[in-house]
Amino acid sequence: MRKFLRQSAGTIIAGFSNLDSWVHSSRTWIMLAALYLLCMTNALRDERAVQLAIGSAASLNLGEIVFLQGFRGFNFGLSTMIFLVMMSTFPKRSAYQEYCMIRSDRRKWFHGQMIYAFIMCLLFMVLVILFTASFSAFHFPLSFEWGEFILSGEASFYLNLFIPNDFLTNMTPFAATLLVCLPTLLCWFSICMILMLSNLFDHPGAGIAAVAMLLISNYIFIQAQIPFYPLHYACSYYFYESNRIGDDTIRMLLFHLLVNGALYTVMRIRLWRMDIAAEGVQA
Amino acid sequence: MFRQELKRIFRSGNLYIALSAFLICLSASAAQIWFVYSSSEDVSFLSAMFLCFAPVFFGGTILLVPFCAAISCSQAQADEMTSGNVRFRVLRCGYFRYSAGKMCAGMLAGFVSLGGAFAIHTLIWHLAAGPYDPVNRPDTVLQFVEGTVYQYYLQQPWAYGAYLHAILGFGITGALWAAVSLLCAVLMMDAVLAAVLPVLLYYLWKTNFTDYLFGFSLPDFTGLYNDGVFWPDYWQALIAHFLLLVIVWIAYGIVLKRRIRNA
Repeated sequence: MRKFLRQSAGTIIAGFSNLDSWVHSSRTWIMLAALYLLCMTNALRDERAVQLAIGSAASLNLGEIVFLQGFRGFNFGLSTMIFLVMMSTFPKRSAYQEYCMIRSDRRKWFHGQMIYAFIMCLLFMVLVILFTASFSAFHFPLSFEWGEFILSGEASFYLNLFIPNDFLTNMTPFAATLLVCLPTLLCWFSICMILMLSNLFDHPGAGIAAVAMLLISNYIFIQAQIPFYPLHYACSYYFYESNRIGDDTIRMLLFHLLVNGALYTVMRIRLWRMDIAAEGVQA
Repeated sequence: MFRQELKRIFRSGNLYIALSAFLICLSASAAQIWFVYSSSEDVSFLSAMFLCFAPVFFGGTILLVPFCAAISCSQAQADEMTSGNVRFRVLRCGYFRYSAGKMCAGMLAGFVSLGGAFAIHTLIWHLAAGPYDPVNRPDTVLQFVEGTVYQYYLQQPWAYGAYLHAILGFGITGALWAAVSLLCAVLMMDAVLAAVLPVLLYYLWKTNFTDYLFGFSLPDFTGLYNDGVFWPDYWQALIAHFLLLVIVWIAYGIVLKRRIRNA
């Protein structure tokens, strides 16, 4: 166990050495402020909509409102854009990163980056949920059971959302929230993998451009009401038309497994052929 | 300086990427309506007027406005700031000529990227679906709320005033958001933030966050092209755009001067 921990230390250190440049980036703090405002407007907009519709926001509870936000991917387009900007320099190819790569090995360095990316996605998701819950806590009663308003289908009508019955009959709001957050979380992880791929090929801008194009084309496809859109299985949108949540969730997991597996394989091949070069330094 | 800047902007691909993205978003939405209704017996939706304006009012084109306006001009400004090239350019032509040239060219790029995209979109559907002609095609008559801006334009032949109004409205909105993106570029000195910050500001304004936070609403910034707008709202939106533009221009000048002196 100790040997395993000692061997893993290099991997973890290589990954988390990104954290320092991430924290000291202006992009991070500006985007965190934007995320805070985004969560605030999302939560208050729902509260206003329910209040206008039936005169009181108390008909929804905290668990339900967080679920509804997660069901929309926490305003998927904008929250993903914020995440993309925050992670846009990932992995930062600083001299220290290259040093870590030489001291451990390329494979460990690469796995460290993947672990770091996944933990950052988790952290971002936790932040989004916390921000949303912190605003909603002032306006909605604290409860973790489905209320009459949502069970009767009135919430779907007033908030213009189709909520599949599987969520309401088989799960608590907490479990349903975890399930609807899963595709968004995996989508953010896939974005990190794309950014890492482009960075390993020495074209960091290409990854950002590719993801931005994907988000914009997804938006255009949805607005044009074209039945299939690029991120259909990559985010929580597929729940909108889903009648069998279990089957669709497995399909979504397979989709992400295939995409990330392909990206992983390409990056592993690239790693062995890659020159080690920090910013302005060639080794 | 202005001419040189215009050449740079119009020769770079960013302006055309912005124009294409906005045009695709508008026309793809109209094409979907066209394909659905052309095979049915209901032809009331198949006039140029409806197909031109439906993607704006019922689609999500509005959210692409600041992004397209921003990428048309802000990237060059951010690159100049980060590379330090801005100081050499200011040395050559002077601070006032540089800032005025940059701002005017940027605003023109924003105007062309949005207004131009809408003009092309109008032309496409005018040719494809036929003009708005209630006399010869009474089944395509559209109804707007009494007293709104577009209702006034329906009385003109082919309702051409409505198209010009929307082209101008999109153009002015594009010019304003291009100016905002230039301000973000000199403020943050980051090409990514210069493109993204206007989108976030625009979205927050759209969701009326001042009402949630402070209890007052800002004028509707879609008032220059939206369909449910009355004339007083239109003038209010125009004045708000003008005032904001003046504020942004002054802020741009101050920040730019500070950056050049202390960078």
